Amino acid sequence: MKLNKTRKDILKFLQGDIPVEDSPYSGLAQAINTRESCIVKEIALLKKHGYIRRLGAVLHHRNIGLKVNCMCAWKVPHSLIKKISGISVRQKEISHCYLRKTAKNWPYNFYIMIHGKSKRDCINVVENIRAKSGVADYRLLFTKKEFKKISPKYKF
Amino acid sequence: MNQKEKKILKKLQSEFPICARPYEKLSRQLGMSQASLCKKIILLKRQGKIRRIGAVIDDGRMGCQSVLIGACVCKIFIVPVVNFINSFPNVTHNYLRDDEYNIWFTFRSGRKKEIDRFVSGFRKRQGIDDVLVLPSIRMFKINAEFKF
Repeated sequence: MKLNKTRKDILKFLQGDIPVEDSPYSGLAQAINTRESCIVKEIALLKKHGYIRRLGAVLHHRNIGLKVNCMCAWKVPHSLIKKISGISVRQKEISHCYLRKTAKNWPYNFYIMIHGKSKRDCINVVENIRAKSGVADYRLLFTKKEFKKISPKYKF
Repeated sequence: MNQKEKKILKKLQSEFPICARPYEKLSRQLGMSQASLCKKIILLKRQGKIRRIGAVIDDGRMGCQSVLIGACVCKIFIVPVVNFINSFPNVTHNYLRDDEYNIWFTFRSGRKKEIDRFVSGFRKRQGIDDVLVLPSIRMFKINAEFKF
């Protein structure tokens, strides 16, 4: 599926904030000279084809009680990647999970982001993964301060 | 946060309907009037619990790549270094972390060259002892939906 002008306009609109009103797409429909039903159909298509990963509220975790955030970087041998990633993605406290290249002085290749109510919550998640995966070499990097957090804006 | 609020947030983040009148549909599912639901949502936004309601667009699908960058920044230079990093729209988040590598952020771009150019400029900034550039090889999970 290609991104035509209408689809680009819709994505541009949706990467902002959908107004909280009865017919939130009516203004957009007018602006791009189409029907609301057409916009709804296109949103469903954009979602189906993977341009939209999720539609809905983006929450601010700090303000909903998940005050402690932590990145955990692991040094995982190739043979255990499948195991540790399988365990990690099932943990509800983990939002992001990546395999990354290593760097000089930095042997860690597997990364998870953990969100919890307390430091203990985060450590429990790590302990659980360690026990189940058998990987013991990791580095915990707790968040001390948030300098920037915005939603990405694409140019269309 | 009370149960009602949690229920609303849960619905809004995981089951936002794709239809012309999404709030009307949600209010019916939640058993409340549309007017009181909208009032509640506006309040949750004002309280900073909801950042926005919209689409999370897929980076890869848009031809965008991102690298995680960790830097070891000398304490007295943190402010200017952070200001420099944050001045780029390519940077969507930037954190101070409890580690010798204290500054962590991601840099996204549709052009690999732009990432390389940023990194080589960044390495030369004053007060930076070491920079880790960590491109992703594989993504296993991105899900910023929170469980209540």
